[in-house]
Amino acid sequence: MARNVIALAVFLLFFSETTMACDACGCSVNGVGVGLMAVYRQNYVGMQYQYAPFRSQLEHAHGAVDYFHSFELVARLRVLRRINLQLNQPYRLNIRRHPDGDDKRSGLGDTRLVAHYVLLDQHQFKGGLRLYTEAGIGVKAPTGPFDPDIHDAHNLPENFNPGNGSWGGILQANIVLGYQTGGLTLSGNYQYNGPSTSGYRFGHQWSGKALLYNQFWPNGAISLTPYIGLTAEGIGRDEQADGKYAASTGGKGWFAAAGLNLKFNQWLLGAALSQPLSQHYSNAEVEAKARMTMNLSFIF
Amino acid sequence: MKKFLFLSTLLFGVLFFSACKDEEETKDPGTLEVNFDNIAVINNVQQQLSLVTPGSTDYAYTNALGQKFNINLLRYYISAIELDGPNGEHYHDHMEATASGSKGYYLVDESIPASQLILLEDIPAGEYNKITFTVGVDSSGVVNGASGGSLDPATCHMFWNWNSGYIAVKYEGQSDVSNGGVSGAETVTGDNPHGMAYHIGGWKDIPGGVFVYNNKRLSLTFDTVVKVESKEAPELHMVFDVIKMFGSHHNIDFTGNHNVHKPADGVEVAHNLEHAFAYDHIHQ
Repeated sequence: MARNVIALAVFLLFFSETTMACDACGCSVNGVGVGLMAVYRQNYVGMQYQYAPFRSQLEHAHGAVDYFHSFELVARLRVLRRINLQLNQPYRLNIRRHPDGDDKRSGLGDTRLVAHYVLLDQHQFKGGLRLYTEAGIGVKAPTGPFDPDIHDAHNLPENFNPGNGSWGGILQANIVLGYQTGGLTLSGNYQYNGPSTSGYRFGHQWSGKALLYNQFWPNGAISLTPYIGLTAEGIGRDEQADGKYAASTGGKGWFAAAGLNLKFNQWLLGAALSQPLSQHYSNAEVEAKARMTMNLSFIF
Repeated sequence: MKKFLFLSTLLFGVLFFSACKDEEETKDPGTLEVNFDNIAVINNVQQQLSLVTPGSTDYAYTNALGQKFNINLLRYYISAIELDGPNGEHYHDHMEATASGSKGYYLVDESIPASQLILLEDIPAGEYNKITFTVGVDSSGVVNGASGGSLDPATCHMFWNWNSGYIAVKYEGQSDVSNGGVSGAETVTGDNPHGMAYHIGGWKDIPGGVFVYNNKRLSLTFDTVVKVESKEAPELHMVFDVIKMFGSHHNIDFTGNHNVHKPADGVEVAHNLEHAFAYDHIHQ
């Protein structure tokens, strides 16, 4: 029973909270970062919606605001005792609201496939502490549309492209420290971005999070898991085909995050909010606003 | 087990705390693209300029005296550009005025967007927080004889003669309060009843005569530093406010002499140029 509880809590936690490593000018919003972790014996498939707005701070941009919406299919399957595969397939809708006229781009994002190896599978310590650790390695494929002229021809930042036109490598690590019905989850994600065919290369991305959670059962069939913690993300500066850094790209931010997951039978529903605590995106030319995530998935 | 714990914690630590790799610092010289954006600041809001055809009575702008006006033509020389940094960095643009071409003299024309971008190259790597430049063409651009490129009298439409030198700032347009009668203008004709021409310049200073030094050497400091090195492609955005050109030190009255073609007649507008140019922002 304890094993199931911790495993489920871990799953709830990781599925419902992700961070997006992005800035509003030149960075890959496609880098939906933090690895999603699933219960060591359970598989799932679900949809996640993310919303991240950025406001331009430049006087001549007259308060243009960018809204990044992401609808992501997420699936995880345990293929061997210690190995599971995770697939992320986003669909992106990027909207710019500007006094001189709005603009938008939409389409499938880049596909991610990560294989995780479970290093420690609920290792028990004296006193009841349990530890779960897994590490993953994966690949990001350039399946999403990428227009290399989006900046020069349409005056939109490169990261408005649903895809970023290049192959990438992914490293992930997830740790869950559980105690009775609660615990702490830690995770880290690093994505290496290769150059696109046009030579433009998005900056490499990293993200991490630390979340405290606890699970409750208000009436036998439904469980609630609230959680709270910190997330952080960073993106390196983009490079143009000529090897020079693209202006106004790169950035980092720290966020306070809180969310709630509800589980009923094999269904899971969750929502989370992130509020920026400190940030420096695109040479301080854009300001990240509060973000929101919602998800619905089926565990099997 | 202990080994697994150690390894997994280490792996996690590496991933959680790994920021982007520190970019390698090179010390190779770099470039800076200087943009001159011509604007009109109206009610504290920057507006892009719109040029109208000669004779048009669409008056989008108002001077400090409440006189409405429009713009047919706006052109000016920027030359002798220098950059300075807080740690002693210094750069000066290469200047040359010969028959085959000229360097370091940039003719910014509101009707030619490409002319508003000046690419400075071979700038020593470092941080810079100040730009200095001359509005106009000083003696070395004039006394060297007939020059080519942006100084070519046959194509620049900015050359008076050897005594008066080059026009630093050329404006042509019209205002309802002007009684016209403009001569020697590029776009405004003598029979335009409301035309105006302000040709501002002068490189010689001879007191009591028509030759007055009207070029302006301006130094503008940034609110941040710009990093220059071979991997960077920074942009410096400057603005030129046409409203300030006609009203800052002196409020120019379009009912007065609005047919300015010699240095002495343009002293007040030239003085206003000191406030018309400003630093705006940097893209790094």
